[in-house]
Amino acid sequence: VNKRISGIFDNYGGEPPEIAQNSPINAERVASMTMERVGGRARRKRSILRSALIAAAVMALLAAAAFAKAPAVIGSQKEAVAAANLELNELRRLGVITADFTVEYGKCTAGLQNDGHLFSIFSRSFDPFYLIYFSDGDYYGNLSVSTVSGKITQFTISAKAAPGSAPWKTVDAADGTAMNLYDNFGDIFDPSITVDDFCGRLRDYWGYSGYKLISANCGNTPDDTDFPADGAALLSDRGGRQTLRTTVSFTGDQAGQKQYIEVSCYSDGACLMAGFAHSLG
Amino acid sequence: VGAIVWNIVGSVMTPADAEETVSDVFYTLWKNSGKVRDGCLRGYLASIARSRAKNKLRESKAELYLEDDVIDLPDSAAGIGAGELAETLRTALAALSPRDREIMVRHYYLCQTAAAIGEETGMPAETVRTRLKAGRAALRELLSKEDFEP
Repeated sequence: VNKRISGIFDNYGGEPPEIAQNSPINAERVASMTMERVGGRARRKRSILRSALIAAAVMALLAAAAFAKAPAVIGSQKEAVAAANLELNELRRLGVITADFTVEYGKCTAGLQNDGHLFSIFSRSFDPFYLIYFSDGDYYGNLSVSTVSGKITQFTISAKAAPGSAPWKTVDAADGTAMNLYDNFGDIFDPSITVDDFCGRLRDYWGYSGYKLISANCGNTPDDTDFPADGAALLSDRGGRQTLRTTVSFTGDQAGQKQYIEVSCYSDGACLMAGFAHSLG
Repeated sequence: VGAIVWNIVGSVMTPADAEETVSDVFYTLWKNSGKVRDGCLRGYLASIARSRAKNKLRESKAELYLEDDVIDLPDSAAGIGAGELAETLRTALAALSPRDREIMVRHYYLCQTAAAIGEETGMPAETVRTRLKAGRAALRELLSKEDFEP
């Protein structure tokens, strides 16, 4: 049987420190030993290992950067619908909306668009996007899903007023008949939410660093205000109008577009729109 | 402690690694301070230093380069217990001359190279190797003669 003598000496219970203490470390010898040995194969191995670790760290950083640039690619209508539902959940989680509906593949249209002129508030909106029209009984509308980020870049959500519910106002329709208008915004978002709350939550969803309420007297529509909205006002407060557009500029919006948030009362129910380029609205 | 650690790991590791091992030895002593018997501190420290340094060496996949470290023993020595082995080792070392005993302890316990032992004892390295060979023979003879219980 083979045994290591150094292993046998593991059981040595003598008093060797006298010897050890009589042989103090000779700095020069230790240095020469270290340089001699570590300068050889061991040092090369260590150097290779260090290089490999640095290379791995660099690769990980590059990979992370690549993912940050292109987190998702939506390549089909089905994927667009799936992404839309995930993003609607995120909007609900953030409190942007409370409307509880899903977009069902096969029960909606999801067309690939590449003319983002209506939705050019984001530079990324110039990338192709799926414009999905949906109808879910109580809710209908449309939304855009970016093929690059997978995010919803605009949405229009209409909530049908419950049958028999009291209208907000009754007006004369174009044909002279009476038309009821409904303000059931509580079916779309938290009725206690203010303009500031809403803009802040959209800012979080789109990943901007801030927002500013601004005036928007572009003359395109009388619904615009020529003064900044009151951030403390309720989002549903239209100041007696049927429709009100709040204009906002998000900090970090690379396209630099003003956009509007619109709340409207229609004959079948309330409607919320967000993510539309103001100048083209 | 530093000398023991350096003898074992100094040739393949950086000073920082050795310092870490030395720190580990004293940390172990601090943790086990209540277990060290009076008068045994130096022996205990030496034992811990050797053990920690060898572990460190093992972690780095390096090996000790000792003269003819492996010894061939009869099968009866296969299951020898630690206590018996320690006793036999002490007997074998006692049978050696003080100079040979010191050389054996320096090399196989403190892991000094033959050249280093030669430098510190004033002997040529080759003489150290010859004496180590004699010490190994004495150890082997004693371990072979002993009637160890299985």
